[in-house]
Amino acid sequence: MIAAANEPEPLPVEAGVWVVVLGELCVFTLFFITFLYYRAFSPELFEESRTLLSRDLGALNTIILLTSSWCVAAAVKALNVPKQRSRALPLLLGALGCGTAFVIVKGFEYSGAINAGINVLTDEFFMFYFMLTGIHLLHLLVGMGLLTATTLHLRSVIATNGVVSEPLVGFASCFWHMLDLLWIILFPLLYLLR
Amino acid sequence: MNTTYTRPPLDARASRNHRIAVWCGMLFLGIPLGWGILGSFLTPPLSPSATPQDIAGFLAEGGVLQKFGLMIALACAGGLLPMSAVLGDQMRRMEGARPVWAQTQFACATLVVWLLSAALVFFAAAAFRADRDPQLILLLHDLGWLTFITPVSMIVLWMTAVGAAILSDRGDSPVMPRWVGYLSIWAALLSAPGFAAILFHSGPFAWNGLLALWIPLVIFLVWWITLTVFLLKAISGEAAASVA
Repeated sequence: MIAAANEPEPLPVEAGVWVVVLGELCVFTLFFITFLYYRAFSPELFEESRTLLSRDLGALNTIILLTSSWCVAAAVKALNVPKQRSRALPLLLGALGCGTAFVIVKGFEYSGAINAGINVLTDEFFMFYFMLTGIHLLHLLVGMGLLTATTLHLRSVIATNGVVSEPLVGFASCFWHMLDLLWIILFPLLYLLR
Repeated sequence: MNTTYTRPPLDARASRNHRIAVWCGMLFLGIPLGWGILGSFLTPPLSPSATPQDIAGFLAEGGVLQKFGLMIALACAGGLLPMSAVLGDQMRRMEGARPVWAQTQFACATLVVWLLSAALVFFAAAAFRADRDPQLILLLHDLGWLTFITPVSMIVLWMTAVGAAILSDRGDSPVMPRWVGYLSIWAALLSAPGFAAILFHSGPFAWNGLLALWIPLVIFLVWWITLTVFLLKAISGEAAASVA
C-alpha cells in the first residue's frame, strides 16, 4: 500500500483478543435472538412496555459511548507516533469520563423506572431490559477497569520513557469498541424496535 | 517461562504423576452424565415454576437409576482437584517466584467442588424420601438448583485467575498460548449472569433457561476441555526441557 507511507504502522493487536471479542459477540447474539423469540409471542406487551422507556436517555448514552470510542481510537492513534504519546493520556481520561457518565445516566434510568413501580419482575420485556442492560453494564465496568489499568500504565511509561505494553492497549481498546458495538445493537433493539 | 527462580526439573516420575492428575479431571464428566442424564435432572430440567407434586412425581419416577446417577456424580466431583493442583503448578511457572493466582485458583476449584457436592446432596436428600411432604421436596429441589447455579463468584474468580496468570506470563516460550488466557477471561465474563436465577421462576434467566444454565454450562465445558489439552502439552514441554 503506497498510501500507508506517511501513516504510521498501527499497534498490533494480539490474535487472542478476538477470542474474547468474537466469543462475546456470539453469546450476545444469542441473547438478542432470545429476546426476539420471546417478543414474537407477545408483541403487544413488548410494545406497550417499550414505550415506558426513556428514549432520550438511551440516545444520550449512545452518543456518550460513541464519543468514548472515538477517544479510545484517537488515543491508540496517538500512541503510534512517539512524539504524540503524551496526547493519549487526556484522551483515555476522556473515555473514562464518558464511561462514568454512561453509568450515571443508566443509574438515573434505573431509578426512574423503579420509582415508577417498574422492576425486573414486572413483565418479560422488563426482564430482558434490566438483564441485558445490566449484563452490558457489568461488562462496561470491566472495560473501565481495563481503561484505568491502561491509563496508569501509560502514565508510568511516559514518565520513564519506557515501552508501551501492546497486549494491554490492544485488549483494552478492542474490548471498549466491542462494548460500544453491543450498545449500538442493544439500543435500537430495546428502545426503538416497534 | 520465568527464569528468575530455580524450579526442580519435571523428571519422568513427576511427569507421570502430573499426567494422571490431569486425567483425573476427566472424572468431572460424571456430573453431567450421572446427575444430568442418568438422574435425568438435565433431560430437560424441571422449571422453577413446577408444582411440588410435579417434582415429587419426577423423583418418585426416577427410582434407583436416578439415585445411581447422583452417586456417580457425587463420586466424580472431586476429580477436578488433582487437575487443579497441576494447573496451579503450571501457573507458578507463569507467575514466577511469588504466585498468587495459582493459590487463588486452587482455593476456587476446592470451593466449586464443595458447592457442586452440596447441590448434589440436596438433590439426593430430595430423592432419598420422595414420599415426604411435597413442600419439603420443593424446598430441597430449590436448594439443589440454587446451590448449583447461583454462587457464581467462585467460578468467575477461578476463570479470571487462570486468565490473569496466562496473560502475565512474560517468558520467551509461554507455558500456555495467550489465546487460552483470553478464552478464560471470556468464560469468566459470561459465567456471571447465573446469579440472576434467584430472581426468575421462568424464562431464559431462570435456572432451567438458555442464558442461566445452558450457555454457562457449555462455556465451562469448553474452558475445562481446552485447559486439559493445554495442561498436557505444558507438561510435555516442561518434561522435554528437563531432559535436555
